[in-house]
Amino acid sequence: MAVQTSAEPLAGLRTPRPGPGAWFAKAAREISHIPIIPGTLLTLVIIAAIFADFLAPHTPSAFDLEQTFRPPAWEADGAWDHPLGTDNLGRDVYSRILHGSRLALFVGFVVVFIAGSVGTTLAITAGYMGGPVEAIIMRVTDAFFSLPFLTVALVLAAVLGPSLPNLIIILALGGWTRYARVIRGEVLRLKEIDFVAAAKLAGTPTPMILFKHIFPNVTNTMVVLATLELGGTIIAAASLGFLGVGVPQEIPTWGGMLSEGRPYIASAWWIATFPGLAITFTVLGTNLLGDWLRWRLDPQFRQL
Amino acid sequence: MREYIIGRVMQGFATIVVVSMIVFLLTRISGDPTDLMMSPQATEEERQIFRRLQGFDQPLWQQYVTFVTNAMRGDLGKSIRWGEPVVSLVWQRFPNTLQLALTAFLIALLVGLPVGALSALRPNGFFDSFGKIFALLGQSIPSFWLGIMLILLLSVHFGLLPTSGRGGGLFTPNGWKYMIMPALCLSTFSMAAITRLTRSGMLDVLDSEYIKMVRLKGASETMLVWKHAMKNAMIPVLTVASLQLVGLLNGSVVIESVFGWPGIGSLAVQAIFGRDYTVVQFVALMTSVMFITTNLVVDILYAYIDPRIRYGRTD
Repeated sequence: MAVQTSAEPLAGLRTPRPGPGAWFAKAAREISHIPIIPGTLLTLVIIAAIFADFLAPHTPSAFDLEQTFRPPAWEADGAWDHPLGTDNLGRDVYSRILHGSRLALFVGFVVVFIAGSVGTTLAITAGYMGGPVEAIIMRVTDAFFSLPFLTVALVLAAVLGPSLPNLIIILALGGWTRYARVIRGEVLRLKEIDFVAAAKLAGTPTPMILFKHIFPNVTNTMVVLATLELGGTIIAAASLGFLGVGVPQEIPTWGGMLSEGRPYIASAWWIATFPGLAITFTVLGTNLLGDWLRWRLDPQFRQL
Repeated sequence: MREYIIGRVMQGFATIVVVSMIVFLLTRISGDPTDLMMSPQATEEERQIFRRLQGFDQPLWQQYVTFVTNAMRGDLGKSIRWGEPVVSLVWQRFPNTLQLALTAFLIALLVGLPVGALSALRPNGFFDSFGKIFALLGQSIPSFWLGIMLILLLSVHFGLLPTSGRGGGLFTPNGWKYMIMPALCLSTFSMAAITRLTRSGMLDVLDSEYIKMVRLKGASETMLVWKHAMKNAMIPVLTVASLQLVGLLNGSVVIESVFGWPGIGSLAVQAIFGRDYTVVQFVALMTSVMFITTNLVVDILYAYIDPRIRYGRTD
């Protein structure tokens, strides 16, 4: 190694602050590592959600009473005008599935974000503070965790009435407990490690310790949990839609389509079949992504 | 040990108190529950009478105290629709749900344990890949959609199984046919979870020193896997499985609706749409208390088995 001759002896050792370009390059590199199957599945769903207006051959809510119960294009009576057939009101199943992806992804991401933020904040507070604060937070967490989620969600949905914000609140209420339980455990472990003690000795204020020293060390767990919860949230939203609560009926949802198609399952199998396939592929994508993220970010779980 | 048990029981009790508050607040969330529970056609006079009868005109804390004291006496209110105490109403339906949940649990264990164990024997082999795909699908397919697809295939196309209902009961000549599809759909998620847990547990155990020791002593491979390794790999699996069983009671809400199964899940759904919230409150409370109690019992049993828990931290 060459002898340092510059004025500032340590200049060569200091890494430059990464600019936005470097961050972007890193993000692109990370994305390129995503395995092919979840990558493809999720890309397709995201494209469907963003470009639904352009990709859908028909308006999702437009009904045409002369075109009811048309089978998918490849069946004897089908036509490419309605690639996946039409439902009992003559609405195009393919267009409705494309538009349904919007709600599924939007609800999934927003709920996971809210639940993750709330759960992680509570977990860090409980784990670091200990004492009565921890006891209260953890009993409330246990209580929410033990409640039969779907039953409670159904009551809330019925009491609050169908609307998108209500659906998001209800699903987030059921979703934060897993973060709180798992991340609290991590915080308990982290606060025993020397760097936290050192920060405390140096007089760092508690909020600063939580934010700069504890939080960055639980983000990996948070991201893995969030990805794994995404699929469960999409299924939960679909379950509520299937039972007839959640968002107003005008908005096409996969769960709602399933419940509308169910009475006709013997005569028009396509109405309930395709939305279910859409849910399965989306959830398969998020679950595969979650497993891969866990494998990549958390060596402890490589075997799972 | 005694200290640990007392602490753990207190925790469980505190959790039940919080649950009772949440369940109580469920119907109060939009303010006065009178409007929720009565039909829109009811006159103002009828509403007033109803309000007074149900105690909704009292302050919230007083209503909660009444709710809890009545609950302690076993009185959880009457169903507004059926005019029957909710406890007996739910009790009539509970055996059906329990039967369904137990069958689903049995299916999940009978499939999940061997598939998980066989997967762990040759990681990344043919069977392991099959097991992984199987577990992944189990966690990704929405159970109610699977139910509809099974109805389409087995009932509509092949006419093998009845589409819905319970038949004469599980042990009547044709009763078991009604059980197959709902139990299978209900079991998929637990089956996948048990498969994955068994696999990772077996991988851990097969790698341990004492299994190497057993192998050195010349035990046959069959004995080694199914007796020595399986026994130890089972411990974490059974912990999770016991909670899964209670979770199945909860998951049956959608499945019972799909298959018209007359259990507490479909009762809850009917009650919600019939504005009969006292029934739902009780269902939610009962399921929670069962979950908390099971968790408590499992933790205490665990402490008996593993001294590290007794003397270490309680988390």
